[in-house]
Amino acid sequence: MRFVCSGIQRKLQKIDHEYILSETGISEALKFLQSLLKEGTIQEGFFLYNYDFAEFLAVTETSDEKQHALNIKIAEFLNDNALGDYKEYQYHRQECIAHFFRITGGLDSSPLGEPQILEQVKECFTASLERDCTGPLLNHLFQQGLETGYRIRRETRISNGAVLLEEAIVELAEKIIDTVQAKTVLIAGHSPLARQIAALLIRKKIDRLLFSSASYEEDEALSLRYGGKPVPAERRLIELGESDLIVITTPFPEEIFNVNSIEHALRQRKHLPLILFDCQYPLSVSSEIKKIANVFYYEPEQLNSLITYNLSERKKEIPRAERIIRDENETYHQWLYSDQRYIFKDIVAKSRPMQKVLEMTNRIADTNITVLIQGETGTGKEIIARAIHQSSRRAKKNFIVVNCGAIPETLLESELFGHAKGSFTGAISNKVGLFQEAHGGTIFLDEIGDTTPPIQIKLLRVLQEREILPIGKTIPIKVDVRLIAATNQDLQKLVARGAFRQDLYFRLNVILLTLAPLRERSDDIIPLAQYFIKKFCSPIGKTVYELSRETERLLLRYTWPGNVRELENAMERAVALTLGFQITPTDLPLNIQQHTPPAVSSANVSTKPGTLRDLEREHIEAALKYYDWNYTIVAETLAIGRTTLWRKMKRYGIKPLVGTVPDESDDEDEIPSME
Amino acid sequence: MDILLLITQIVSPLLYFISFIFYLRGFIRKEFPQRETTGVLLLAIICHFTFLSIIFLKTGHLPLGEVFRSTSLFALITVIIYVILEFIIKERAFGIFVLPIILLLQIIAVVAIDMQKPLAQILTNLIFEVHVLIILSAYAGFALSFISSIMYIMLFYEIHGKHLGFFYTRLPSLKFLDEFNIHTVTAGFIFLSLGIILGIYNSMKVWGIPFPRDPKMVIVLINWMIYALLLISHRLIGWRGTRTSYLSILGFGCVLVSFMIISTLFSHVHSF
Repeated sequence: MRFVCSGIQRKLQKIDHEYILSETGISEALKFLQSLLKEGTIQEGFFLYNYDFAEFLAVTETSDEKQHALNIKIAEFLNDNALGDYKEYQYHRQECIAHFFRITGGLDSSPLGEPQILEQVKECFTASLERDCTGPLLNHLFQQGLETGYRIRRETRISNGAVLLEEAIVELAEKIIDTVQAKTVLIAGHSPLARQIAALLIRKKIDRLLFSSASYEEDEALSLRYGGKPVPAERRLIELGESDLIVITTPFPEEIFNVNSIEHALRQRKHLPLILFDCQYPLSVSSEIKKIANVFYYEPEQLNSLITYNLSERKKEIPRAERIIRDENETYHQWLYSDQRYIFKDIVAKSRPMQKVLEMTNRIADTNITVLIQGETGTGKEIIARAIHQSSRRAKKNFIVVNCGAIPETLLESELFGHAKGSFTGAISNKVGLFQEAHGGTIFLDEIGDTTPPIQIKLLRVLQEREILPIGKTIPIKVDVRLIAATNQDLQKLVARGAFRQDLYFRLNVILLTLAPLRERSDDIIPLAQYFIKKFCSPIGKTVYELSRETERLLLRYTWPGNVRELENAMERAVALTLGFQITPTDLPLNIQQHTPPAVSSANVSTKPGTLRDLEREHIEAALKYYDWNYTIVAETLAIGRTTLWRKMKRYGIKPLVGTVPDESDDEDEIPSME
Repeated sequence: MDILLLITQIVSPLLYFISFIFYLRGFIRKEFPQRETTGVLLLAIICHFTFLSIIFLKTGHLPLGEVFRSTSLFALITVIIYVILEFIIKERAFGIFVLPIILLLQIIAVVAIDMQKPLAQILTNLIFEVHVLIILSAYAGFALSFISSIMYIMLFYEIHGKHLGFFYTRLPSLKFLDEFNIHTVTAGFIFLSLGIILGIYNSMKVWGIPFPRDPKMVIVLINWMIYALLLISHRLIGWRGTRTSYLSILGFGCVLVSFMIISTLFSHVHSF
């Protein structure tokens, strides 16, 4: 893969707060990015913009000529949409990553070390993420970019000292009155500077912001925008005395800024210092005001030398910041070329859908949010749940797994909530429920779709009240448990059929993680196989095997009805059977080797032969699994009637799986009627 | 024991000097490498404390009855109060002003200290020792107030003179310095008043008169009045900032005069 970045930068020195692309330009850019992705020109993409630049950061796998064509395409797009005077730039490979880190570190922004840029990067990234343009590589790049940004600001002084006039004004005020929090600032006038100061003060959580200019309407508009208060003419004198900092820009109400009013204000404030920042010099009375004690009178020019000094101080930090960037760039490349990329806490995820799940997992792990995991059998629902538990703050407490489908309904309640001695026949002692055991930790309810309505009501109560009521007791017990539920059925359909309570469904479905079946994420098959080989080799002391080309081909061709679990078993078997250093097709189970027909019966060649009954059951199960529980096709394949199939299923205790075949709705409708 | 005394006598000012260098470096570079700076200063304090403890063990009395011993004790109290304050307020710009004073006092003390000097009987009773300890703590407060006043005035003139630069980018805000000044003076004033009352009580007990004729007594009262004026003007008229700072500097000047010069040159009963 190759990283490429192409963009434009505004030539102007002074930046008015208007983006380099117009509003429509920005949304056009995102559409353009999506189209590039669709064509397959790029694998992942990210559109980033600020006041002074706009660029596309992409991962491609194309040749030089195609790359060139892409660059031209991007340049053309930007040409059409940019406002004003600008220059183009391009970065490739390592340089591209360093460039991104330079942006987040504030080295490329104007002024140097601007802290706002991190927020901007976050916003832009979210926009690209929501449109599904970014992928694992860029997601990691983004995360590391943010960390780099924070690290540079923490370890160097690139963001220290004011370099903008409004910052310098606020810094001056802070040097005198310690903090602008809980202070009153009066802004006279509504020039751009007045607006910039207002915006900055709002970020600083100022107590009162007053606006007083020659026009009351303008004051009202400003107040509405920045959450301040307009000052009518008759209240000006009073508010003057209340203010700690007064910034005079244009147009200002001249009649109030004279010696008398200022002196009056000072008397009112009992000699607390008053900072008067005058951007509208020469004020006719300025020389007299300057002489009053406790008035700190300033003009913009007087801050110039400070700003120049601060800027030069920041520039001195560039080499140190560059060292950090080099360092982080190396870390990123190490990650890029390592297996690490695909494995997260025993979860192998190279494919796009899995990466997304992992990202979500990471994001929600540290919260207490309820998670619902949906996925076919063997897709690793429990492993994901465990990963969430282990990366949360509850990691040191219990992780309790309850398979709701495996425990009889009558027992499930007492298992989950516990019971008091003598509350029912056989309750010979008090029993602590699993919810109580999971206190402080996480409880994982597998096969939640198999629970009965009475249990569902009780679960709902736990989720709502955060307390449980053991059977036979009257006082509820508070529990602090994070609930993760999993199902291989489509709960929504169960809800529609009335088999699952809607209110519980909504409670559970706060965060839905859908695990795609293995056949839909073929990118994961080979890394997973390699991971399992390594895992099974190490305990028996065998040398690490690799997969032969033919084996890889077979693995990719197979449809994996049993998903990851099936792959795991196949690999365990292969490691045990193989004689060479390579896993060859003959080491694989026969059903994988001879994929075309179901070929189920021969799958168990290596195990001890069972009875004919067992064989029949296994065969039916495998066929059902293989055809995704499509009964019509299964019956056809087995050359029996559908009713016979149902009878046999009942006899062998094969439970019909509802909802696993979303597009075969007619079959599902038949299930209840057959029961 | 004597060797340890000699070592600490030499090493403690040296350590203060090193930590001063650390503070200076941090101040100029506008960064404070937390660990080593604090570490060296704490080491210096431990060394200083050991030095005075040995004197205490040797003589059996707190190191008060002689001017240079109490100078050293005063330095120790001041620096300990400073370290605690630094930990609380998380402002390290003071260090560069506090440490030279500590260093100077400690150098004077270790050079001129007289280990053999016998103590007058009245200078060994418990009330007297408490009296001196309290007065020294009050002086420590005034010293910190003096330092913040100097910082205030430097910063104030830099801001007013519109030449924002060296101190502007390094010192805490004017309001902070002003409040720090008032708080330290208030604390110092309370201690000074307590100390004076104890002194009068002690003098009644030993000599039978409340005020021995003593130049030190006079200057301490002047001192007390200056700080009283500072606090009253702040409370009633609302004086703050430069005026308060100048008063504080004046007050501390008096403290130094009473402490160093008068103690060495004039007094016999009150020579500490």
